[in-house]
Amino acid sequence: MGRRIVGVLEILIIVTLFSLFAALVVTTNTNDNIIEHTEEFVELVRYKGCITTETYNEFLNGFNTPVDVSISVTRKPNVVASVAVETMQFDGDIAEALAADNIYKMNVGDEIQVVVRKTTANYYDSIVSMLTGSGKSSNPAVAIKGGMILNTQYAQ
Amino acid sequence: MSNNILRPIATSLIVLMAVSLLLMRTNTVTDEWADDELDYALRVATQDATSVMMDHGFLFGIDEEESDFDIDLDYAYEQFKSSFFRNIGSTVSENTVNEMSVSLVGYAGYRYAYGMYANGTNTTPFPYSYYSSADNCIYEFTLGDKVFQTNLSTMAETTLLLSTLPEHYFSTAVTNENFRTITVMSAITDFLNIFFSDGQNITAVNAGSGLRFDLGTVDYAEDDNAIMTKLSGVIDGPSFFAVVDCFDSRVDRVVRLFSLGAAEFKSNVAYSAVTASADVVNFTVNASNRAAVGYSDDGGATLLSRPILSEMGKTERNPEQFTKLQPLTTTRSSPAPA
Repeated sequence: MGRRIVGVLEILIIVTLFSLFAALVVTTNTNDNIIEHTEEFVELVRYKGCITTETYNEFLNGFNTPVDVSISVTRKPNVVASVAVETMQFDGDIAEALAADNIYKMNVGDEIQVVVRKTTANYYDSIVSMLTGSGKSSNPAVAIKGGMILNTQYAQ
Repeated sequence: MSNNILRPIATSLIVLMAVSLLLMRTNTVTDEWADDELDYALRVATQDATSVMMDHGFLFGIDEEESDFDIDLDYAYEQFKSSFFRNIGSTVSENTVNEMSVSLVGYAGYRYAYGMYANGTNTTPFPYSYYSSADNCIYEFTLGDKVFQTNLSTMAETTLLLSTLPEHYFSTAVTNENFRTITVMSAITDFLNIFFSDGQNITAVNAGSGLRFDLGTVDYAEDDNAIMTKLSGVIDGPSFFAVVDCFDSRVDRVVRLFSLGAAEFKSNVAYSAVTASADVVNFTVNASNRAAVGYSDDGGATLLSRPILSEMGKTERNPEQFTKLQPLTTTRSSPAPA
């Protein structure tokens, strides 16, 4: 009887460990995908100087797991006497511009930052956070990418 | 009986193997993510800093061809920090990078390479020069078409155009264009080797070690963007560069990163990230043409105890330091021209 219990425990331990390994591989691949996808989007925006409805939708639909995406654009101040200086624009402003014109334009010197978070952290996100020292969070930031707008390729 | 002994041993071995696999995979993944994040952050930061310098007219400026010119790295440096930190935080802890020291920043400009240490001390401008013993002349190359020739016998200065010189003017083996590229890349390498390890560089002194740079001199990847990040590329436009030391708490070492980045800002052109390769001795990871990431062998704790540059920038740097610069002509022995 005792030997059977030990045998079952051994099998359980082995199966659990290999399940953990498989889950880790899946999680890291998912995170890799999120990082690469975000980087591609940010690079595209930096060199094109605009977000179109098509690229926006492609970006949001390109994740293989549920994520929270936040996009913020810091406008290079362009002071005009009668217009209030609006230095920051967020997801809502971008979505509004896309709904109206199908394109959200930026200028050279503006800065964009995209933060992609997982909606729920799993066990491996906690392990990775612990190992890398990036801090624990219930919805960890998997990709933080941003930079300056370098070109305005929309101006055909 | 023997089965009773073998079974737990076999089970233990399998468990050990599974745990090892888990740890190896985790370690590999976190290492790669951290390297990639720092690599990307540094590349974007140097690109943006270059852009800011161009925006403020410090690159491609008409004054740069003159002997005296004003350089102010403040804008570029602030942009560099802003862009760098904008890309940190998912894998690499912001707290970790807060201990960052930007030990040397500067730019490879139209005619000179020029730098500034963490304490605000400037380096002397370093020309892309070549000494020809055949005619006893110094040739100062630019990133454009101009070549400034100084005859050391008569001290006469002449401005030449590379495009009008007979092909193989400098070397029978190398075309004029390639000769210029090799000279420029060698001069930037010399500049980094001389000035990074100089006693003026407090972070190198604190860490107890300098760095040896060995930039690629030939553009292997100019025809294939797909391998641009794997093989060496050469500079073909003014570029901001930075060497960053930051402490990696995970491996308990100082991570040193170097990036020489630039981007061409041509409207309606897809893009071209023009960077130089960095192959740094003692670096263990990822020497690409975008940035070299690695771990120095010593000095982490010492470096951490020093003030970070963001504080230094507020307290120690003096805008008055940005005065008229006198170019320093240096020569390097090279084969005689054909």
